[in-house]
Parts: sequence; C-alpha cells; structure tokens
Amino acid sequence: MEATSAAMAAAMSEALDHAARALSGFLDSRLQWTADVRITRHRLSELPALCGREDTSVAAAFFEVSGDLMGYLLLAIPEEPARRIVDELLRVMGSAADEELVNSTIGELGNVVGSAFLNVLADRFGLRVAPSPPQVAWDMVGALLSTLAGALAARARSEWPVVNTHLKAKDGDYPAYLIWIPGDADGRQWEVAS
Amino acid sequence: MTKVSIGMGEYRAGLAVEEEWTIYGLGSCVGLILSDPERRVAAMAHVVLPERFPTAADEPAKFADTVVPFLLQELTRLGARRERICAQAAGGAHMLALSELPDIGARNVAVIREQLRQHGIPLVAEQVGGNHGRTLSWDALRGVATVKRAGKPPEVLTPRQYAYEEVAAVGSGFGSGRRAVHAPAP
Repeated sequence: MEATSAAMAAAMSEALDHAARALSGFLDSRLQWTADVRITRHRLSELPALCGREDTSVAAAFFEVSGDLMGYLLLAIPEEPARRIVDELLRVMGSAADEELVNSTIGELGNVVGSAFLNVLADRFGLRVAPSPPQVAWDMVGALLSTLAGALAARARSEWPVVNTHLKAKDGDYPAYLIWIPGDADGRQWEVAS
Repeated sequence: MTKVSIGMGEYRAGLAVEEEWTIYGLGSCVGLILSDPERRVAAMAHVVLPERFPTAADEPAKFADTVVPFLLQELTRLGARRERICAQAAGGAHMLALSELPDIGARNVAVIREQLRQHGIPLVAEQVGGNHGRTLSWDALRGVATVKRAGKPPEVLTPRQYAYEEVAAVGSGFGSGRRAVHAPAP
C-alpha cells in the first residue's frame, strides 16, 4: 500500500496481535488465536470478497469509528463457529441462549476485539478514538462488505486501503476476520500521526 | 449451466443461453433485471449508487440514474422489443447504520423505480428493503430469477407468466398484474 508508512504497518500488526490475544483471553484461553495481517489497497468492487465467498453466512460486529481516527471496523465470524463460540461462552455463564443474549454476546466479542485493536493505535499515536456501539448482524458477509463499499464509493474513490486480518485459532476450526477500513483513503491521518 | 458472477457496477446482457448470472451478497446495492420474455433477451446489472457523480468513470450499470436507459439500449441491440420489456429487482437493504451517509439502499430503489416509470418499463417483481442481504440469480435459459437469503431456501422472484417457458406455452407473457414482494422495514 503506497501510503502506508512502516510505522503504520508495525502499529497495525501490534494492534491486531493485541486483538488476537484479547480474543484468546475472552474465551478463557481455551483457544490461542494468531493474526495473519494483510494491509492492501483494493478496488471497491473487490471488497465484498475479502473474506472469501460473498454469500458465506457470518455473525458480525460492526463499529463506526470517529474522533482523530476515523473508519470502519468489522469483526466477522462464519456462522457455525460463531454459534459454537457463543454456546461455549453462555455455558460458562450458565445462561440460556435467547436471540438477544446471543447478539449481545457477539457484540461483546466485537467490543473486546475492537477495543484491543483500537486502544493500541490510540496509545501509539496519541489519538482520540470513539467507536460506536457494536451493530450486530447475522447475514452474508458480502452483503455487509458491499454496503460498506457502496458507502465508500459515494466518496468518489474507486480504491481504498484495507487492513484485512484472518484470525486463526491454533487448536480448532474457529476462523474470524477483522477488517479495518480507514475513513481517509489517502492515509493522511496516519502520516500526520506518525 | 455456466455460472457467471456479476460484480459491483458490472452488467451482463444476452439471449437465452445455458448460463446462470448471479449477484452474491447484495446489501444496499440493487440487482436489476430487464427482460423481454418473448424474445428471450435479458440484462442484469449490479447497481451500487443512486446517482452518477461528475468524476465517475464510464460505468453506466453502476448508477441507478443511468442503468435503465443503458440496459434498454443493450436489450434493443440484442433484438428485444421495447414494449415487451419488464423489470425485476432485489436488494436495496439497510444493512448498517452509517452516521455520515444516507440510506443508500432506499435511495437506490427509489431512483430505479423512478427511472423505470420514466421509461415506461413495468416492475413486475421486486424483493427490496429490509435489513438483510440477498443473493440474486437469473437463469438465462428459462428466464427465471431467484432470491436467496442467509439461512433461508431460495425463493422464485419471477412471476410465472413472465418466465420464458411460460410465455412460450401461452403465447404472450403480459396481461396480468404486478407481483411485488416487500420485505418489512428495519
């Protein structure tokens, strides 16, 4: 990515490692997650396929981030592993899994991972970061990403930088994706901050 | 059956061939199909934004305010008769609340409806709005559109009387009313 400084890439990697560790901690370390980070520039038409097949059903927590650092953060977990994670967490809490609680759990998972990611960036660059409450959706990942792509396309840019992370659990089939799309396509806020 | 994926801002037009055209994961975007069931000519577009902006590249299928005349031109070129062309649409959902941006999905749908009205094209079936994604497929051989949602079985969008085989069987595909399937508002 042309506009990405080495400092930004290093900070992103650190932030995503932190997010992976937070996810491991949230799940009581039964699964150790690692982050495979890619920072790339994409045509907007490529965004819907960032996590594989566009019609893959996922549980997603979405945040709109404002403040000194603006952008969109999406945590997406394929539906089946997401349900296993929720079941496991709710069993620990001794709760019955009604829809509201399931969604709340996914939102909390998003909060933990998203906060871990954003906190590192805020601390590293001294930025004020204000994420929205999580929006939880169980839907096709391509529909979520194409909606973001459509919103970005309205800004008359055809390409956008994307931080795309595939979170993998070492001892289980629990893939997850954490995607950060900066609100500023030129990355100017990063250059200034670093 | 050859499967063809239609990406954001792309379109496909053609005669009845053994192809299935699909737009996967429609969110706020709209999948628009125009077809002449008698001539078995169709076009499908993946519409992203309501209005073309001045600096946009030449991508008429990408914008709701340019897609309809563009597809009509393509269909006519392929032998469709203007008075027989009908439309079907899916998508335009409100998937995410984005504070600084308007509801693009609803605007996409509104502009497409207005464009169809201006060009005198009947919208014979639609499955739009709501807050869920959709995958829209078009069987180019049979002239049948289907819509799939996450965790739900596929639903046929095309009213029977507009499917190619039905039109061939009865001699004319037109005459009955519009079938609209509306998703509930979010």
